[in-house]
Amino acid sequence: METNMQLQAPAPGVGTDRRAVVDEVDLIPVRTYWQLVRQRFMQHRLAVIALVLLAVLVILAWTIPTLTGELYQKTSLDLIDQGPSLSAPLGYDHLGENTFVRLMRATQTSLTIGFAAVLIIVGIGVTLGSIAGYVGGLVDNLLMRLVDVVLSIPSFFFIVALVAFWGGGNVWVIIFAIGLAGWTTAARLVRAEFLRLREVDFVQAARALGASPRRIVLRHMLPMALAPILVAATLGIADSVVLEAALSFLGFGISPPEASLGNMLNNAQRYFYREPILMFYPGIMLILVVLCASFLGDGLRDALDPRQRIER
Amino acid sequence: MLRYIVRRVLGAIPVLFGLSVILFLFLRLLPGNPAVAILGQHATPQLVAQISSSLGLDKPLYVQYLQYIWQLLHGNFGASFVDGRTVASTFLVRFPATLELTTGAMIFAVGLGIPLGRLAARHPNGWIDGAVTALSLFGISIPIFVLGYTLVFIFGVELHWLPAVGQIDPRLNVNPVTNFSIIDAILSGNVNAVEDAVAHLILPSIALGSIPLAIVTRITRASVIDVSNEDYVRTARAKGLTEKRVDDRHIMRNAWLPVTTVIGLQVGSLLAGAVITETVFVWNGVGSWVVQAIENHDLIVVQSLIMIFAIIFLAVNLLVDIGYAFLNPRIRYS
Repeated sequence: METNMQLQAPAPGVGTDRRAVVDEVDLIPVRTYWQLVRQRFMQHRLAVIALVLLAVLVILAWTIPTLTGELYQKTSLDLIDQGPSLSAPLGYDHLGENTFVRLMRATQTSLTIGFAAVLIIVGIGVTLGSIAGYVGGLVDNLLMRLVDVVLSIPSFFFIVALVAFWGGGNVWVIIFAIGLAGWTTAARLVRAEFLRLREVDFVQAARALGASPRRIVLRHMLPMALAPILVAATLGIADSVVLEAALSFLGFGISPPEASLGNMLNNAQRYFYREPILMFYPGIMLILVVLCASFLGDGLRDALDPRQRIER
Repeated sequence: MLRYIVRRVLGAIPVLFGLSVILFLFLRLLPGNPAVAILGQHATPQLVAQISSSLGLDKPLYVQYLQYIWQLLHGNFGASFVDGRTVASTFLVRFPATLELTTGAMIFAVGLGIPLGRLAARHPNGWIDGAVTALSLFGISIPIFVLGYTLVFIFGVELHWLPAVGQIDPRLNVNPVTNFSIIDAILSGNVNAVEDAVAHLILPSIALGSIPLAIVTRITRASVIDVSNEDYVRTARAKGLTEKRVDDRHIMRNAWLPVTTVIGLQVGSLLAGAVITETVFVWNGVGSWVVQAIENHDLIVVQSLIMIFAIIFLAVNLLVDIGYAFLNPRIRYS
C-alpha cells in the first residue's frame, strides 16, 4: 500500500494529506469474509427469526420424542378425543394418541427426510455439476442432456412410482427417490459456477503451478461455488419436506403407527368432517418449516453473495 | 422463425429418446415379474410363461426395448393390466377433467397474479407491496392439500357457498359428450348445469393455482420494477405520454417476457399438483388415475402416463419458447 502511494505522481496538496488518508484506511477494522457474511445475515431480520424458529423446532422435534419414547404411537381407548391437558397440550386424537407428542415425532421424521434428501441432492448435483463444468466439451454436453431428460420427467409421479413399487413406505427409499429426482437444479448451478471459475485468474494460476485437477476442483473452485450450493440446499429442505408430506398424504409414504407430517394430514383427512382441527396442527407445522427454510435461504443468499441478490 | 422452431423441435427428440430408455429400464428393473402381477401369486408356471411370452418378456432386453419404441412411435401406449382398456382411450376420457382443472388454476394465477404484481410494483416497498409479497410468500409455502382442505372446510362445509367435491352434481344428469364438465353443461342447454360446473371448478382452481399465483405475482412485480428503471421508460414519461400509455406500451410489453417463461415452467408443477388436487376434490382426472394405477401396480399405465406427461411438458415448453421468440426478436437469431 505504502509503496503504491509513493509511485503515484504527487498531486498538489496530496503530500500533506497523505498520512491522514492512510490513517483513515487503517481505522476500518479488517473483517474476514465470514465476519462480513455474519454481519449481512444479521441485518436480514426475517432470516434471523427463521433461523431461531427452525432451531427451536429442531430441538423440540428431537428432544420430545427422545424423552417420551414410544408414547407417540400409544393408543388408548380411555383418552379418545380428549381435550388439551398439561401432558397433552393439543389433546388426543380419534385413536387416543397424544397429538402433541405425535406432532413432534412427525416433525422429526419429516425434517430427517428433508435433511437427508438434501444431502443426496447436493451430493449428486455437486458431483455431476462439477464434472460437467470442469471437464466441459462432450462430457458436459452429455450430462446436460441427462439433466434435460430428468427435468422432463414429471418428478412427482416418478417419486410416487419409485416409492410405491420399491419401498412400500421405507424411509430410505423415500429419501433416495426425492434425492434422485431433485438434483438437476443443484447440478446446473454448480456447472454454471464452474464454467465461470474455469477461466478465472486464480484457477489458471493454480493450473500453471501444476496443481492436480482434484486439487483445483476441491481447493480452488468448490469453495467459491459454496454460496449458491448452500442456498439451493436450504431451499431444497423445504421442497423435500413438502414432497414427503405429499407422498404420505397420498398414502404412499410413511405409514402409521410411525408419524410424519404427511401421514398425520392423511389421517386427519379421513376424520376431516368430524375433527377438522387435526388437519390444522400438521398443516401449520408444514407451513412453518417451509416458510422458515425459504426465509433462511433468502437471508443466506443475501449474506453469502450480495451480487446474487435477485427477486425470486 | 421457422428455422428456430425446427431447431427446437429437433432438440426435443434426444430428450424423449433418453426418457424412453430411462422409463423402460425403470420398469424392467422393478422387482417381480409383470406376468405374476397380472395373474396373481397362485398362477401356474405354464400360464405365467404363456403370458410372459405374449407380453414379449422372454426376449432379450434390447429386442423388448425396440418393440416398445416401435409401438410408441405408432401411438400405441399399451393397455392396462387391470381393466384391459388401452391407455389412450382412458386418457381421452380422463384428460379433459385435468385440462379443465389446470386451465382454471392458470386463469386464476395469471388473472390475479399479473394485476397484483403490477399493483405491488407501482409503489415498491410500500404497504401494498408488503401485503402482496406476504400473500405470495404464504401462497408458495402452503401445501396444496392443506389449502384444499381449508377451502373445503370454510366454503364448502361451514358457509355452504360452493360445492366441496366433485366435478358436477350427478343429479343434473348431464350427458358426458366431451368430458369437459363445463362444455358438456353448455351442450346440455341447462343454465343451472353450467353454473354448477363452474362452481365446482372454483375451489380446486384456487387450491391448485396458489403456487403459480405466488410465482407469477413475484415475477411480474420484479419484472415491472426492473423495466420501470430503464432509460426508455423515463424518456417516455419525459416526452409527456400518459401514465397508462407508458404502462401498456413501454413497461408491460417488456415485462411480459420473463412472465411468459415462468408461466410455461409452471406446467410441470401444475400436473404434479393436479394429482393431489384431484385426490382432495375427488375429480376423475388423470391425476387420480395415476394414483390408482400406482396403487394397483399397473405398470404399463404408469409408464405410459409418465411418458405422456413428459411429452406434454416438453411440448408446452416448446410453445412457450416459440412464443418467447415471437415476443422477443433478439432470441431468434442467437
